Amino acid sequence: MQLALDASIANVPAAERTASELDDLDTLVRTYRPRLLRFVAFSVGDADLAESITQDCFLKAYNARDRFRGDCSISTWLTSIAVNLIRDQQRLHKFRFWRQARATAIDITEAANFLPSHESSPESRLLVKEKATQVYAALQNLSPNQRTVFLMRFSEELELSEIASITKIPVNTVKTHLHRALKSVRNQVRLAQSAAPDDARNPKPRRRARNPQPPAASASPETIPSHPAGETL
Amino acid sequence: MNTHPDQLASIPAEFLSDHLTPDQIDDHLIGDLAPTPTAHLAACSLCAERVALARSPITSFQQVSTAWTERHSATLPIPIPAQQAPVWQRHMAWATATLSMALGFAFINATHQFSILNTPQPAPVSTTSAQLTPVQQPIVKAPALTEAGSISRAPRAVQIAADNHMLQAIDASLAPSTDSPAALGLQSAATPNSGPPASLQD
Repeated sequence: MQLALDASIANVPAAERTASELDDLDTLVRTYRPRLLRFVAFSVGDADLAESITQDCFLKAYNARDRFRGDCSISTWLTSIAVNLIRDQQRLHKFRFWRQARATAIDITEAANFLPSHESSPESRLLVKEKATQVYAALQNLSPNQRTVFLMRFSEELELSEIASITKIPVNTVKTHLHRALKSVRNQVRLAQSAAPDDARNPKPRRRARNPQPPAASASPETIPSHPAGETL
Repeated sequence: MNTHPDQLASIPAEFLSDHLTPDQIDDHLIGDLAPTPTAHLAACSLCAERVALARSPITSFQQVSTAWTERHSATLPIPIPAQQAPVWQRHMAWATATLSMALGFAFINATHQFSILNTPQPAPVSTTSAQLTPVQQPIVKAPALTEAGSISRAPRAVQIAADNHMLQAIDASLAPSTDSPAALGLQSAATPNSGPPASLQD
């Protein structure tokens, strides 16, 4: 299982695949499901909803496999289908789970407990856990488009051209969204580290804290005022 | 956006002395840094440290999200490849199963026949009684049933004629002309209601 995950998450080649791979649905799911589930889960913030969207994504891909032209990788094609499904969810106002109930919301602190323990010391693992929690809390305050682009670049490690192809927006617009998302996340992480150092050891996700302003005392010379996070593509 | 070492030689030295701005650090994280700042980053340890510091939260988030995904993907069942037996083994298995079933039926049939042969035979009776009476029933009832069977098969006119003949014989034997006292000569000698006896008259 670990080998399969390593192969699917870290070592999925970006080379073009033949359409015949789409005929084997079982292999398709086992190869691309972990990566796709991670993107969808941290885009919508709900584990059950992410499972449902991921399943729908593979179903749509299998049904539309004849229309796959092969001009991009299968991973990129699946991600584009997932992005459309996420947008459909947003359009149908089904993000109440994300905004209100969140009964099956992702617990990032619990997920941090699954970090491999043989690679680092307990102190470094705790530090990783704190930083991941702060980034996850900052992601919730981004706009959906900024969050999608941010996850594609920094979580899925897609190239700018691939992000532009998936989201169907120009590359320069992708860069603009990435700059704004990155500055917003960095400012919120710095705010969390400086404002509540005690809470940083046991952090909790912040809810709907739009446009946070970093304190003047902790602002470094490289601090840039955050951009409004409500813009759309 | 890695810069080739040959490109570093062509970059003026004054550009290498300028540290990266926050925007350039973001450009580097995004993957869109120009060649000149990239060359400076390759040579400046301070900027490299700043870039590593800016990348650290994102790297931590990536590690945790990967761990979460691995945890959730562990629920996906692992397919166990079915070991396909060779064709000749499957054929042999089918033949063995068929032969076993045939031998089983033959054994059951032979056991049944053996039990029938060892069962004691009942006394020979007529075909009609054998058909109508079970083996365990007493044979005494067989003749009655035989008569009833023969009667039922006798012609109806013959039976009626026999009955009439028997009734006529009975009537003849009970006829009053032959058995009455007058016919026997007893009516004149005794007059039962003529009067009291002579001894009582005195």
